[in-house]
Amino acid sequence: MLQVQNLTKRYGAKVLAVNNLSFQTKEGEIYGLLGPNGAGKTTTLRIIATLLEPSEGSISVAGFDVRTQAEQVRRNIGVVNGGMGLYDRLTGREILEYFASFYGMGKLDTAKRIKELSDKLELNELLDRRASEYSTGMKQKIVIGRAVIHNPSVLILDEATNGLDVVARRAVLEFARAYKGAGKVVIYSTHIMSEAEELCERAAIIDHGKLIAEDSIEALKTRASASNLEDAFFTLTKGVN
Amino acid sequence: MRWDFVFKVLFKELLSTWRDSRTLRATILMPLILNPLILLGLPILFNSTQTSEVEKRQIVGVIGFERMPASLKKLLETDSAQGRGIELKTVTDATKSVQDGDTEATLVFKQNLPTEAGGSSVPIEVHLKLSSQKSRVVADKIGTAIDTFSRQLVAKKLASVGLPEQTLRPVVAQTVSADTVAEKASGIFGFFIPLLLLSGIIAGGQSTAIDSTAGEKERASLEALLVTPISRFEVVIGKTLGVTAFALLSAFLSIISLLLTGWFSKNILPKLMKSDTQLSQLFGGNIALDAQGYLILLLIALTAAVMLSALMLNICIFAKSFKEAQTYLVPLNLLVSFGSIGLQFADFLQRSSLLYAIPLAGTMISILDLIKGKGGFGVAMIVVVSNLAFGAIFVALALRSFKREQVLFRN
Repeated sequence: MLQVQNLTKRYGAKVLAVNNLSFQTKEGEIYGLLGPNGAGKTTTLRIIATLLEPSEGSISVAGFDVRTQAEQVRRNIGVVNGGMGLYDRLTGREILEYFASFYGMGKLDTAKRIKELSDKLELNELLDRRASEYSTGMKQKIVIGRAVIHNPSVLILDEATNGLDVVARRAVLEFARAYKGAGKVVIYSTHIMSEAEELCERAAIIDHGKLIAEDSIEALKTRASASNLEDAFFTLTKGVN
Repeated sequence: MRWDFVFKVLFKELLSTWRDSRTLRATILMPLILNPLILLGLPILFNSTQTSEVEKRQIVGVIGFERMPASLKKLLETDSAQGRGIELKTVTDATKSVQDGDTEATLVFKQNLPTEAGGSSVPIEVHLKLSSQKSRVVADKIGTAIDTFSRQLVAKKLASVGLPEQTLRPVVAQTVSADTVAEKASGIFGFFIPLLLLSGIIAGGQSTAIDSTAGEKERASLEALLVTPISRFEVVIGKTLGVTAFALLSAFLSIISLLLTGWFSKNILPKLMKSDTQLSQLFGGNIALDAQGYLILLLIALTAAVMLSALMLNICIFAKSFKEAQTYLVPLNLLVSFGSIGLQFADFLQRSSLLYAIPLAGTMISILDLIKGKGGFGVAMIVVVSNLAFGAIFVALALRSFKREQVLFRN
């Protein structure tokens, strides 16, 4: 579904944000992209999302190349990140309709999909209020709805629980689980190891733009002789920093 | 290009801005209130202060009172059709009394004034603040009195040899205004019209320009839009049209308010002020164009709005926040303001196609020419083509910025 091969991203001559990174995901899994702040996670995800150009390497999403088939790639992905905002003067429904229109969805399909998402994310009561009136949790639900309005095969969640309270955080994690259950891929990028341990089947640990380890969560813990992923992370990244 | 995508972006920008009460105040209320306030308020203020100054009895200092003939004193102190007379008082220091505000002018008689013409000319020093508008009124009163006194001496001398007063002035120049109706209407305040029109365009478009670029970057909604199938070119065109729509709305309202102001100034104001003289004749600041003139004005405003909208989009995309973008736009506002100050000297500029092709400057000069009845269709076409060409360049530059990582993800 998603293949990243020898990905490198440089900013000028001095900054190497991503260094020869490779990994691939399978259908119906939640794949963790783990690392501290500044490890290169967001840069990698922005390249996958066609927002940034790779310096070297290749990425394919659902069989489409990010360099040469950017639009097809964008039709197959949805992106949520922790800092993403909404149009404050538009209602949640208007925002979802606006984004649906770029995927060629007709009015009926859009209305049906909004109803479906509204039930799943419990948006109903507030959908016709302006986004400026929403709580942080509600905003994040609309951001998720916006990202999956077209039912993409790959959903990227980048630090998606940042700043959320425990209830909203739980809703995001449950949505990710349900989404993978529909045969999709969820890329879950975070620096919170407990979340990744709870959610992901497999994960790649990256630091300073380099792949440190990639395996199932259980295998990563075994390899580091650790009882939890956070300890495993510290053991595996020791020496890198 | 997929126009349905472009229109989606345009409609979203329109809806978002329309729901922003700050923008509505800036785009609709500003031209409707500010234009009449400036174009009617300033002439009324100028007129009323000048009238009250003429009707006031100013205090004028005198050094060498004993050398002033009684007839000149009477001329200075007596009220006339030109206004009230002045009050004379003895002072010791001519310049200091004016600087201290004790007197508005001081007359210094260093010699006795002649009682008859024919001898050498005797000077009277008049000390006043030449930089002050207020001093000009008292200078006029003093000048008129001294001129009348001088003419009386000459007339007396000529009469003594049997000649009429007109002997010394066999020819008299009579100034007749050759201004067209449009030139009279625009008058000395005509330079305000390009300023108000372009400021209206900028004020109308800037909120949308900032919100749709720096605002979207600040709240990270731009990233979400750019991962949809819409192309960056379609995004830029949609946003440019959105900014242009509000810039144009503001420009259109500016033109309407100028029209209403001109009509009010011509038909209502003289009745309210109980005066036969129209203020527009004194100061201008109004538009008197035919239908073709208004069409050309609209065409220039439309293309200027496109050009300025694309320029504002270019400037704002570099900012990472709403506030930063507002700061970036200050020089553009200053450029228009300084340009309009320069328009006061537009009569001295040599007109050429190149001058009209300069962005902003060409637009301002062509609007001024148009309202003075000078601008033709050919000139307007140069401005229109120039505005569209620069608009296209700015759109291309904006597209380049929307593709640059260091611009989009600058934080």
